[in-house]
Amino acid sequence: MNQDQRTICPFCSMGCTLRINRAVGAPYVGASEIARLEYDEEGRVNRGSLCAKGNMALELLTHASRFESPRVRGADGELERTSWDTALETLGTKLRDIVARHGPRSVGLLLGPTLTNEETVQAAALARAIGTPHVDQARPEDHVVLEGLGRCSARPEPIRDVQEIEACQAILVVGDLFTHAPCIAKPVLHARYDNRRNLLGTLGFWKSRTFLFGKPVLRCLAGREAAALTLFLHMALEQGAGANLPWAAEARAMLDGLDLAEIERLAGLTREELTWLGDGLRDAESSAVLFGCGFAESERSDLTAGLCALLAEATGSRFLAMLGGPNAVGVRSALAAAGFPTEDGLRSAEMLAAAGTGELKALLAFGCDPVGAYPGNVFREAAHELPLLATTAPLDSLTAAAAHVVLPAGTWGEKSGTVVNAFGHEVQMEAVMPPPGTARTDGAIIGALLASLPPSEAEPAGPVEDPADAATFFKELELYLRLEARDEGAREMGTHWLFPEANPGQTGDGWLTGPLSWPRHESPEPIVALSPAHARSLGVRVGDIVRVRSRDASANLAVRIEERLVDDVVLVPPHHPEIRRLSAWRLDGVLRDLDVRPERVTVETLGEETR
Amino acid sequence: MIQAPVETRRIVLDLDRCIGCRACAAACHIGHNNQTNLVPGKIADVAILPVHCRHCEHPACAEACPCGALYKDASGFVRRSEILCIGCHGCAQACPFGAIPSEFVRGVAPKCDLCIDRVQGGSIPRCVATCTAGALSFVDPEETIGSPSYVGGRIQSRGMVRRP
Ligand code: SF4
Ligand code: SF4
Ligand code: SF4
Repeated sequence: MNQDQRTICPFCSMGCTLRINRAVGAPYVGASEIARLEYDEEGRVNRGSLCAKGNMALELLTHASRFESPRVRGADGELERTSWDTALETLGTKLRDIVARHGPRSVGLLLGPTLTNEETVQAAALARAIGTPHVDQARPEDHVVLEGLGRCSARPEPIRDVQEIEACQAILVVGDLFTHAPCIAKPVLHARYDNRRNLLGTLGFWKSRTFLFGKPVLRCLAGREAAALTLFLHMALEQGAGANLPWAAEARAMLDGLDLAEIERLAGLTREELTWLGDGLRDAESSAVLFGCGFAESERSDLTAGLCALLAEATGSRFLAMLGGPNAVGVRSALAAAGFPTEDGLRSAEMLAAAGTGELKALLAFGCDPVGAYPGNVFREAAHELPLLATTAPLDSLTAAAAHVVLPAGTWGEKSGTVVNAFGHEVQMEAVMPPPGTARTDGAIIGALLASLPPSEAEPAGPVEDPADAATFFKELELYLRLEARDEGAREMGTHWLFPEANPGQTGDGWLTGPLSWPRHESPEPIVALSPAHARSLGVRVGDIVRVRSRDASANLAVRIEERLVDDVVLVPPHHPEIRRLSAWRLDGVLRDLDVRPERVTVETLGEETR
Repeated sequence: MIQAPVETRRIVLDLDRCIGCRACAAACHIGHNNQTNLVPGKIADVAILPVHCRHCEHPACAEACPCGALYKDASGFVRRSEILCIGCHGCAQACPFGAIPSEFVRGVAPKCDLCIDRVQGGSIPRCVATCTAGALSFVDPEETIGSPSYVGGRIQSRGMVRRP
C-alpha cells in the first residue's frame, strides 16, 4: 500500500509544500527505494512548483553521510560510535563539569534554521536550565535581515498570500530573489505578464536571474542597494508620501542633511531613473516591495531590508522579506516569546568569537553547522580548541568533524512540528519517514538533555520586543552613506568584489544544501566567473587558472566568462571549501552579528609555467 | 479546459517566463535515476533555457542511430531503449535542436521520454509540474502559435529589457 503525505521543503522560507509517496510496511532500505517525490498542485504558496533544491529534498534523507548512531570523541581523538546512553551521559558530565568550573555563562547554544517552533521552545528551556543567557539562531544572513527589519520600525502591510503578489500592478524586487527562492517567480511573473503589462522594477547590480525580467531595470553599483533605496525613500517622502508615519520626521531630518548628488554617485543610479517606478509604486492600486538579497549580496543587508520596509510603508505597498532558513522567522519569534535574546546574552557570531577568545567553554549546536556555515577561518580554528563542542547533526558536517559529541538528528521529513514561512503562515511539517538508524529528532535530544539537568529555579522572562529604534537605524544609515565610513569598510585590499554566485541549487550559506548532489552537478569545479572585459584585461581565457586573493586567503581557480557580469565583480560558487575560505568574517558592533558584506579580492594571472 | 489528447501534446516553453533556475532539469534528474535529459541552452547574456526534445515527426536522432535504440512508440513519443543503445553519440550529433545531452550517463544517451510513467497515468511531465515560473506547459503546440510569449520576444530583442 502506498501512502501520500504532505510536508514542506526545508531549504528556504518560501515554505513550498510537496508530497512524499511512500510504500507503507515495506522494510526500510533507504528512502529513495520506497519513497517518491510528488508535486503538490494544491500547495498554497507554490501550487506544485519546486525549485532545484526542493526537488533534491529526498536526497537529504538518504544521503550517504547521514549519521545513524551517536559518536563520542575518544582519548585517541577519533570519533567513535557509541550508544545513546553513553553519548548523553558523556555530554551531560562534560557540561555539568564546565558549568561547575566556569559558570553557566560559559555555555552557548546555537539553533539551526530547521528547528521547529516547538524545538526552539525546548531549547530555550534548556538554556534556562543550564542558566546561560547565550542562545541564538545560527544563520548570519537571516539574523542580520530580521535585525534590520526590527530596528527600522516600519510596519508595512505584509504579503500573506501569493495571490496578493499576482494582483499587484507595480512590484519592486530588491536582490536576486528568483535565485534564492525560485518558486516566487510564478506569482511575480504572473503579475508582470498576465492580464496587464505591469511594472516589475528590479534593483541589483548584475544581470541576475531576477534582473533580466525588470521593467524598469535599475542597475546600481555592486552591493549598493541601500544607497539606491535611500534615493527612493527620499523621493517618496519628498512627494509627501507617508508624512504621518511615526518615523517620517526622523527620516526627513536625516535625508535632508545628505548630499543627494553624492548618494547618486554612491548608488550608481540617478533619481530620474527611479522616478518611473517610484510613481508606479505610489500610484498603483496595489503594489509590493519584495526583498530577496542572499548571503553577502548587499553591502548592508540590514539597512537594505529596513529601507525596503520603510519604502513599502511610505508608498502604501505590501512587503515581503524572503529569508534563507525555512524557520528563521519562527525560531526568532519563539525565542523572543521565551525571553531571548536577553540584553547580556551573546548573539551567534559573538558566541563564535567568544569561543575563539576562550570566554566560552562549551558550545551546543542544534541542527546547524557553525564551523561550515560561517565563512573564513576564524571559528574553524577555535572550534578545535573548545573544551566542549557538541552538535546534533543529520549529516556529516565540519562542526561534526570538530565536535566532541555528535548526536544523529532527524531532519525535515523525519520530524513533525510547526514552522513559520516568509508569508507568516504557521505550517505543519509532517514526519513522512523515521530517522535512519537510531537517530532522534532535535526535540527528543533536547528533551533528554533537559531531563538530565536539575530543573531551573529561574523565572521565565517576559517576551522580548523587537528593538524598534528608528533613530539608531537612520544614524547607521547615515554613517554608511558617508564616504569615510564606507572607505573604512573598503579598507581591505583588492579591487574586485567577491560575490557568492547564486546557484539555485543551494541556499546562501550552503549548509544543508551543500552536500546535495545538485550544486555539484551544476558547478562541479571551484571556478571564478569574470566579466568578458575583465578576462580580456587579464589576458585569460575560459579554463585558465587565476589566483584570487583576499585579505586572509587565496585560491587558484579556473576562469569562466560570464557576459552578464559587471566589471568590478567576480562570482564564485560558495559550496567549495577553498572558496569559502576567501571570505573572512568580522563582528559588527551594532548588529552584534556577522558583517555579511562581500569581500574585496584581487585577481591575478599565474605565470605561464603554472598554467 | 479542454485538453488535447496526449499524443499531440508536447512540452512547450514560454521563452519570456523561464528564469533559468534549472528546477526542471533537477526534477528530470531525480525522476530518471540521476540521468538529466535536459540540456541547458545558454543564450548569450539573456537566458539559460531548458532544451526539450520535440518528439519530432521524423526524428533525426532515430535516423542516425545505428542499432535501432531510438524509435517512435505507439503514442508518437520518441523513446530510447537503454539496452540497445551503445553510447555512440550519433543521436546527440544528429538532433537539430541539440536536445540530447552530450554528457552520457551509464554509457547511454539520455533521452526525454516525456515522463511516460506519469503521463500514462494522466499526469504531466515532472519538469512541467515543477517549473517555478509557470514557463513550461504540456499542450498541443498548435495551440500556442501566435502567442507572443512563445516566439520569444525577449530572446529576439537580446536586450536587458523584455517585451514592454
Ligand atoms: S523556493 Fe524555497 S521552499 Fe520552494 S522549493 Fe525552492 S527552496 Fe524549497
Ligand atoms: S532528440 Fe532531437 S531529433 Fe530526436 S526526437 Fe527529440 S528533438 Fe527530434
Ligand atoms: S523550471 Fe521553468 S523557469 Fe526553471 S529553468 Fe525550467 S523552464 Fe525555466
